[in-house]
Amino acid sequence: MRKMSTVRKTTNIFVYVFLSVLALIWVLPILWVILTSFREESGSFTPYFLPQGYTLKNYINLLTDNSTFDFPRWFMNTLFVSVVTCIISTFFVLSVSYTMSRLRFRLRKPLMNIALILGMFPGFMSMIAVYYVLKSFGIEQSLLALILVYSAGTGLGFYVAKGFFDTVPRALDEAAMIDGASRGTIFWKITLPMSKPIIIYTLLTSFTAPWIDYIFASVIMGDNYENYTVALGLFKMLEKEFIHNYYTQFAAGAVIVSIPIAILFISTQKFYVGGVTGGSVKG
Amino acid sequence: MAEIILKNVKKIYDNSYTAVHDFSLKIRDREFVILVGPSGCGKSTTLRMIAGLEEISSGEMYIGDKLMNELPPKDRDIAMVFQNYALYPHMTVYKNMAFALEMRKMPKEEIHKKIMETAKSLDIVSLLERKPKALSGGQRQRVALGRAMVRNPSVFLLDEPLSNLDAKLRTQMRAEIKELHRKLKTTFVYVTHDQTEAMTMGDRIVVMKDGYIHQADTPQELYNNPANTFVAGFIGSPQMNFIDCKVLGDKEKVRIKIADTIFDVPSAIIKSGHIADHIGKTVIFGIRPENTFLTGNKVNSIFANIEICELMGDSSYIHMKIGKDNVISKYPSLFNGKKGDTVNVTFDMNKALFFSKENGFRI
Repeated sequence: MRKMSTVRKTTNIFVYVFLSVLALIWVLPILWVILTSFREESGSFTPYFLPQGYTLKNYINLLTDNSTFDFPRWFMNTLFVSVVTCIISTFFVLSVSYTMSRLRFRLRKPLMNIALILGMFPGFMSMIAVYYVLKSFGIEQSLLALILVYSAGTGLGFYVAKGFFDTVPRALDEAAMIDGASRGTIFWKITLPMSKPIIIYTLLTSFTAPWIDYIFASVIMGDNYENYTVALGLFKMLEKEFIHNYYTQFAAGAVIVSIPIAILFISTQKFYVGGVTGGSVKG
Repeated sequence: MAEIILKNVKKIYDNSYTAVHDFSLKIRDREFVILVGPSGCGKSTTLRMIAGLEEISSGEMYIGDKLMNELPPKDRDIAMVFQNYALYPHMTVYKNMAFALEMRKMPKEEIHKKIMETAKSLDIVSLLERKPKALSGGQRQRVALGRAMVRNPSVFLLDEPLSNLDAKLRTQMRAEIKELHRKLKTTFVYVTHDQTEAMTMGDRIVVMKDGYIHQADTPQELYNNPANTFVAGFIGSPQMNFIDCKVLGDKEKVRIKIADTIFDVPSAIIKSGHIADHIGKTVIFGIRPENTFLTGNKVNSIFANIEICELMGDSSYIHMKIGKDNVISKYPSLFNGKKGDTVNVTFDMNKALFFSKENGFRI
C-alpha cells in the first residue's frame, strides 16, 4: 500500500510541475499584452519584458481620440454584429440540430453527409463569390452584410448540438406527445429547458466567431472605416506608418476586446454542468 | 366505453422488417390485457401502435367505435406509462402531472383539484414540489402512474412499467397496479416479458412470439391448456418438461412409451384430444414439474440421472436427464441429491399434454 502511494505521489508531482510549466507558457503572452497596454514609452519593440513606466494614457487615447482610429465606434459595430449574429445563428444551429436529431425524413442522411463534407472546406474559399453576391445586392461594406455572412451558414455546424439532443431520451418526446404537446411545444417546453449546456455552448461559439473574425470582415469592408470591426481596426494600427505610435494602444485595444468574451465565459461557466436530465428516465 | 379492436394490424418497418404480422384482438371495456413474450416478439410495437407512436402499416385499430389509424396520440384518449418513466426532469412532480392538463387548457383551479385528488390516492402529496431527480425508483413509478391518471383516459397503456424496480418493490407495485385497475374501471393494456407479472395481473394474456399471437386466453386456461409448445414452455416456472414419446395401442386404449417404460393415457385425455389419431407416431409429451414425481416404485417409472438440485427453501427443483431430454421435478420439500445419482421418475398422467412433433401444436 505504502509503495503504491509513493509511486502515486511522485507521478502527481511530475504531472503538476509539467502542467505548471505549460500554464506559464500559455499565460506569458497574455501577461505581456496586458503589460504592454499599460506601457508609457511607445514603439513596437522593446528589448525588455517589464515596461519602464506605467500609464493609463493608452486606454484613454484609444477610447477618446477618434481623429485617426475610431475605436469606440468599431467596438460598437463588432458588438452589434456579434450579438445579432449570435441570436440568429443560435436559433439556426439549435433548430437544425433538433430537426436532424428528432425528425426522420428522406433527405436526412444525405443532408447530414453534405454538411459534413462542406464543413471540411475552409469558409474563406467562398470569399470572392460571397463578395460578388453581396455586391449584386448592393450591400457590400455594410454591417448587414457581415451579419448575413456570419449567420447564414451556421446551421451547418449542427453536429455537436445534434449529439447532445440525441442523448435526450425520446421517451420524453413521446410522453409529451401523448400529453397533447405539438412538436413545437415539445421543443420549447421540454427539450430546450433541459438543454442549457448546449444552448450556452452554442451562444458562446456563435458570439466569439464574428467577434474575432478578420478575413471576411476585411474582404467585405474594404476601405469603409466607418463600419470596421475591432479586428480590422486594430490590425490597421499595425501598419508601417502607425505602428510606432499606436503599438501600445493596439495592446490596450486587444485587452478591451478580450473583456466581453472573458465575461461571457465566466458568467456562463456554471451552466456547463452535466445537464439536467437526471431523474427523467432510469439510468 | 373503451373497447379496443385491432383488425389484421401489421407493422412493417422502413427496412422491410415485419415486427407484427396480422394482429387481431378484441380488448373488452375495463379489461386488463397483458401482452407477453420474449424480447423482439412485437409486444411493445403493438402497444406503441395503439398509442399512436408507431404508424400502423396495414389493418385497422378502433378505440370505442372510432377508427384510430390516422389520429395523433393526443386525440386517442389514452395515457401511457413508460418503462423508464419518462418524467420531465426540469419540472416538479406537480408540473409533470399538470402538463397534460395545461395542454388541454384546463383552468388552473381545476388542474390543482385534479392533481391533489390523484396525488392523495397514490400517496405522493409530499413529493409534489420535488423534481424527479430527488425521487427513488418506486416514487418515480408512482408519479408516472399519477401523470397518466390525472387525465382520466379511457385506456391505460403500460410498457414494462415494473422492469426497472427491484424484486420486492415489483411485487408490491404489481398488487398496487392491479388495485388501481379495479378502482379506475378503465381498460388496461400492459406489456411485459415477465410471465409472473402476466399470470398474476391479467384478466387475459396474449402470448406473442416473432410478431404472431400464439394464444390469447385467461391465465388459468393458458396454464392448463396451452395451444402449443411455445406457450406451454413460456408460461409457468420452472418451465414444462417436454419428452419425446412413441404412441402405442389402439383407439380404445392408448399408451405411450418413454425410454423403455410404457404409461397408460387416461381415457378422459383420449376423449378430449386427438392423441388416438397419432398411434405409431412419435409425439411430444408435455408435463409440468409439479406433476413429475420421484418414486421408490420401480414399476411404471423411468430411470433418470440427477444433474443438479436447486433448493428453493420450501421446495426443490430437481433437474434430471431422461435419455437426452432435460426434465425438472418440483419436489415439495428439501431434496439434496448429487449429480449422477439415479432416481425413478413417474408422472401424473391426468395432467399430461401432447404436442405434434412437426409443428409444436397441441394434439
